[in-house]
Amino acid sequence: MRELWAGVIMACRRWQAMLGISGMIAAACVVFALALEDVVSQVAVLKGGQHLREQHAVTFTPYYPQGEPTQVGNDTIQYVIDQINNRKGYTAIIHNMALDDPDFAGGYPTLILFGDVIPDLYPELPLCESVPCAMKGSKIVDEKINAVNIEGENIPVVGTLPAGATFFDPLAAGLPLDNRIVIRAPTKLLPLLNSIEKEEAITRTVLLDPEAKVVDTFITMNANSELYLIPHDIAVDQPQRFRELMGRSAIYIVGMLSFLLLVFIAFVSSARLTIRQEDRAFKIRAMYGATPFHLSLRIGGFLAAVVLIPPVALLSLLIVYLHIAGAPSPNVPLWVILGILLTFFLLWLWAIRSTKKIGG
Amino acid sequence: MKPILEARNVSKVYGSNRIQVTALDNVSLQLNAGECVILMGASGSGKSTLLNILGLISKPTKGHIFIQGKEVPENDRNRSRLRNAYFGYIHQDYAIIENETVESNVMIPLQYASPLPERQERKSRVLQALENVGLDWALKKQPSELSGGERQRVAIARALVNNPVVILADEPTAALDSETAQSVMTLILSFKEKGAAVLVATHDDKVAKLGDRILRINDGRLITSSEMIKS
Repeated sequence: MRELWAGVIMACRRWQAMLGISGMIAAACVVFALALEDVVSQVAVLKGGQHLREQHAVTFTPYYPQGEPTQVGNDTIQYVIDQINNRKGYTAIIHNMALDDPDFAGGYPTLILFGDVIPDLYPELPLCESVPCAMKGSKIVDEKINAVNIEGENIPVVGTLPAGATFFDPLAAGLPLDNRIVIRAPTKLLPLLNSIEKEEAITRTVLLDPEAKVVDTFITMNANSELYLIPHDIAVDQPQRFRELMGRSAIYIVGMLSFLLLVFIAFVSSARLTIRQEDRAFKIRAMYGATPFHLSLRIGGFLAAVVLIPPVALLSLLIVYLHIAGAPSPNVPLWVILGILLTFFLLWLWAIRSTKKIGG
Repeated sequence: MKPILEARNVSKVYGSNRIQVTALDNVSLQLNAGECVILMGASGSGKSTLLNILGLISKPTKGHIFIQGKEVPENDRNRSRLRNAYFGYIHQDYAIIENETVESNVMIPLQYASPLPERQERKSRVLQALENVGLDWALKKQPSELSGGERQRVAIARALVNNPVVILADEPTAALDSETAQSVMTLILSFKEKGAAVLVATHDDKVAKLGDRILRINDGRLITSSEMIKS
């Protein structure tokens, strides 16, 4: 223990150089961990759309030539209800539910889901089973929210989602649910919604393996209400997005890894130089009875103070932050910590080998 | 008299198969308790190599080292233990760790002693050693604040702090003026009075006169061994 501590003090004596280099490593590791976390969560979410691809789901993006609110007709709503009730589609409202009621769902953001097919499409998402029902995100601790009322329908909150639960939104990517209330609503409520809510429900409609005639009918009916929808086949569109994402991620990761590698090379050179500068001190200690074990502990303390403790402390803080912020993959920095541990042990082994000859 | 330290047929060869340099060639010698032996030779004659092998700092290519009649083992851990328990080293360049205090430098042998003395005992022994060389005032000083002679006395305090039975001094006065060299040699010879064996490598005739006998080394071989009566 004394030798380990002496190694830490040895590092402190060269604090200016070591602080700079260990700070650089810590910063590079944090940036790398953040990049990795982003990529991993994006990939996980895209993988979540696998069932949609298998079902040849068709999604729609809206186009508003007039830039004015549209009035979705009742026949269009009924058409969507029929598709949903026949398990040929589902829809969702993410942003526009009860905009005029700040107390809706206790003021928390919501995700309204319509469609019995949803649990089959997202088996990894543990939703409540008997519609109507609702679930709280893991970070919602408000005990008062026992039910949510939509147009007179009282929907009970029956449970809490696991931490990190994410919904795959075909139009975007991952939708974190930790701070949301997820409501499974019956389709009979769709006609009762206001026009803004209806419009979002229409644009977020996902049709499963639809015939061309169904897609055409749906687009035409909406076009009559001046809501122009552009269809996308997820089986075609998502792999394309996935490839783009993987390409971007690869460049991102390779760039960060190269930077990290450069930083590590700079660090290793600096650490080796410092250990060489301490070579005389090691020899003097060896002369007076320090065994190779003593010296390896001293070097270990030195390396731990420089290469291990600062970045691992920062990355641990990052993990805590990612958990608090509700990031989809908050434990990704652990991989970077593992890399740092490996580097530490390799450096330590090298240093032990280079001092082994002393006193031999 | 049983020798404290003995080398039997010791050789040291540096280099690989293609280029080999024989630094020591079949050297045998004995050091007895309470005597000061002077090792003389030109630069590169093998003085330092012999001191390093006798002091267990490096291993001979051939031959054997005995301490108090027992052969020194090959095992690094045991050699470290023996270095700590039996030897004090004094070097021309002082061999002081520059970025540690005088106290910390002198304490090094005690940190690796077995059994490890209590912290308070370690401190008092360091202070005692520094008092013996007249440097108790320098306890918390950095080596850079001391003169060459004072640094060498720090090295001597470190050599004596663990009560060694063999003192190996490699050109201990080479970097010092004659007055300081005299006082340093007086300190080194005081080990002899306490019963330790002292081996001093030097090419200074004035220093050589202070020894009990002189060994001469040339090209790695001991060429003369003569008794010398102190004048």
